[in-house]
Amino acid sequence: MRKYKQIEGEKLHSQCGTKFASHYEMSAYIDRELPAWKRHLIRRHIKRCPSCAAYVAQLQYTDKFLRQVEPVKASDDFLTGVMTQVSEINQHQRRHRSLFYRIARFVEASLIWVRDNIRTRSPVKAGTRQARLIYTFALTLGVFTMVGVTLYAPPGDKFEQPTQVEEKIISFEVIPLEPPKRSFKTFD
Amino acid sequence: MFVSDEDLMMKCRKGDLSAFELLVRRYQDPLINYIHRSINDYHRAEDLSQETFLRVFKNASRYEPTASFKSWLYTIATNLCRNEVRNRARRNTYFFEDLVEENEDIYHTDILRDTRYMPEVILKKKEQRQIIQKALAQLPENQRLALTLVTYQDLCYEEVAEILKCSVGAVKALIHRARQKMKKLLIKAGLGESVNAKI
Repeated sequence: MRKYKQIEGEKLHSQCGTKFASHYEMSAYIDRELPAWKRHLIRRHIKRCPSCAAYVAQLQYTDKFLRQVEPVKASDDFLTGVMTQVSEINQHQRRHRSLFYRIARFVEASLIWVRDNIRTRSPVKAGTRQARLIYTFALTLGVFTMVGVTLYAPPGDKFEQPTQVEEKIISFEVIPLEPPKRSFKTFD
Repeated sequence: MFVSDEDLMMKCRKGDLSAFELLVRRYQDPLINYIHRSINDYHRAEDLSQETFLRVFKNASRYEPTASFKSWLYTIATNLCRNEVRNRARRNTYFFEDLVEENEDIYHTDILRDTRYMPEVILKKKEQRQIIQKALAQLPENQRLALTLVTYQDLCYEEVAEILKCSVGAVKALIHRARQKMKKLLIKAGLGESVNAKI
């Protein structure tokens, strides 16, 4: 196994009196994450200062060593699994976006609103009979709409998704068999 | 013709599943690698990668092309990794790979299939990978995430800062500390030998 090289760079780096680059910036230097002018300064300094050069080399060794790890791969059925779940979510979302679903939600919300309003208003301001009539009408309408939407909902989302059924016209032509030009006679 | 991730994501917003499939194909391996190195469990990493992609799809309508898709994806994955590590600590459970013997190959049998070529090299690599993986697991969470993102996913410091929700300076410090700690852990694991620099 390739041995990890330990270099006593940290001690050496502390001996160097330079102030323009901290330890952290030395790490950023090997990742090429410093601005060009600073990188240039450090590069020039490293050429002259063996202690800083050793420190940078030690960081590079560590980085190189870590990069030797081979990557793992996704299993063969990973993509299929993800796409199956995604298509399920997609269908669910489409159903929620459909017009029928929205109508049902709207009716449900309006029903709740009517019920709450009548309950709070009816005893004092409006006549009880009138309120009851409105409530009964709204309730009946709501219930019928809900039942209708539930029972007679289209199998697909007709409003959102245009049906892409291509009509193919197949024509048949009946060709009568022509009588044979030469008739074979059998001689018994 | 190469289509950028952001364009694919915009198509995905309109309900194009083939665009999303292409995104999954692009990022499935890097994402599993990232999560695998973060939580040290391959099977769980696959589950979490799947969860990440599903979250991306569910929240596709919220995505804005001004932000980098890669950063967004890794942010979701990082949050899931953090939750996973927190849940495991709470439940006092261990990573599956920590419970397995060092010489036992659990998943990567495909690497061992090639032993007819260079068995020694492959075994050494495997051993090395296990040691590095164990050392990575011993790093503090933020340091591990930052180091993994920079070293294995080749993200720049700004992207890492965006994912980890910290400043670029903090990322510099995290990376540096992580490297120093890794160095110590690798030496402790028996991979070190004192060598004087020859520059």
